[in-house]
Amino acid sequence: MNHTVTLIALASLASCDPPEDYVELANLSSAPFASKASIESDSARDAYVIEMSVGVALATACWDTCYPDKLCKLTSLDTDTLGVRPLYRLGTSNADDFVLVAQKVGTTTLRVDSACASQDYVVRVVAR
Amino acid sequence: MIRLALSSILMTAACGAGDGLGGRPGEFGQVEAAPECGALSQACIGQGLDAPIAKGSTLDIAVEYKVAGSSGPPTLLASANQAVITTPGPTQISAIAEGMSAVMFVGPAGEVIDLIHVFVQKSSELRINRYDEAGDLLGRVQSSSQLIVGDEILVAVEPFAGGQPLLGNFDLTYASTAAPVVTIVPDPVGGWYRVIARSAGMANVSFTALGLDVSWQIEVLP
Repeated sequence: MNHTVTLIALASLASCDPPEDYVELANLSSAPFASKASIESDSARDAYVIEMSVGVALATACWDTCYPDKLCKLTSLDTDTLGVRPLYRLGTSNADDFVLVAQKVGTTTLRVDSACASQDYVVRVVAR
Repeated sequence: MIRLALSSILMTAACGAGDGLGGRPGEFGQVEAAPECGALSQACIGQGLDAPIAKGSTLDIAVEYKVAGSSGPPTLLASANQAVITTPGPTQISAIAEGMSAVMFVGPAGEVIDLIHVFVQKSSELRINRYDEAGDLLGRVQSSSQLIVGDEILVAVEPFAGGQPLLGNFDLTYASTAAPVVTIVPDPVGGWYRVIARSAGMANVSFTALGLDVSWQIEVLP
């Protein structure tokens, strides 16, 4: 009996891979009237999608599991469609806060890089 | 630990907005923005960005910083949607098409200090509003009125859309069909006009702006 329990416990431990490091974005602001601004970071469905109405500026924070924490870098692959600017906020380090700017209707990719992980977001800029 | 920090950030963001007195607070309450209107437009009463901006107009924005421990830095305005709002000057925006755009207050390192979303709407109507000498709104003038020789009325012509006043400064032309009867004199304060009844008779006063016009039939009594 004791051997069985031990074997089950060892088998369980063996199947537990260490959690993978990851990086994702979270909203710091919301959409204005009659507009869209959403960030979906769903690892279970592997859905990393940002949807914004054209003209919206969305403040976002980059969050990662890196230790020690390093600065995030955000890169828009189409800067005509999606702009990225740093955000200053009093009382924070500001290093991981950004403003996403929906400049033109279209679809592009936002690459989020941190010291230990990277994540691509599909960005859809839609008409109001 | 990281999750706690993120929660703290989100709480700070949610609670960071100012009270809006005197202007419209930015998304993070670090900047308060107020329109500088030439006339005492109804949409400017209270000096808040409380209305859409009229398509074809410009708007100067006065910025008040709410950041403790620092003066306001050199600041530029940036538009999120150049098809709707452009920024012809460091503190001026131009409403070129209907729609919505964020206006960002950008600091010396390119960082966004705060932002505000504004709407642009096409004017559907011009109204002639009368003000007293203290600048208080008396009301909308009727389409036809009677004045007495020597009367002097202070008015502003303001754009509306669907009954809602719109913000913005714009070029305006005016005419009187009988200048000896009724003369229009621009007030030193931009956007204000003095309508002066000079002699008995009839005159039609008209104002044209933003592709619209409004007229005012005036009979001057001796």
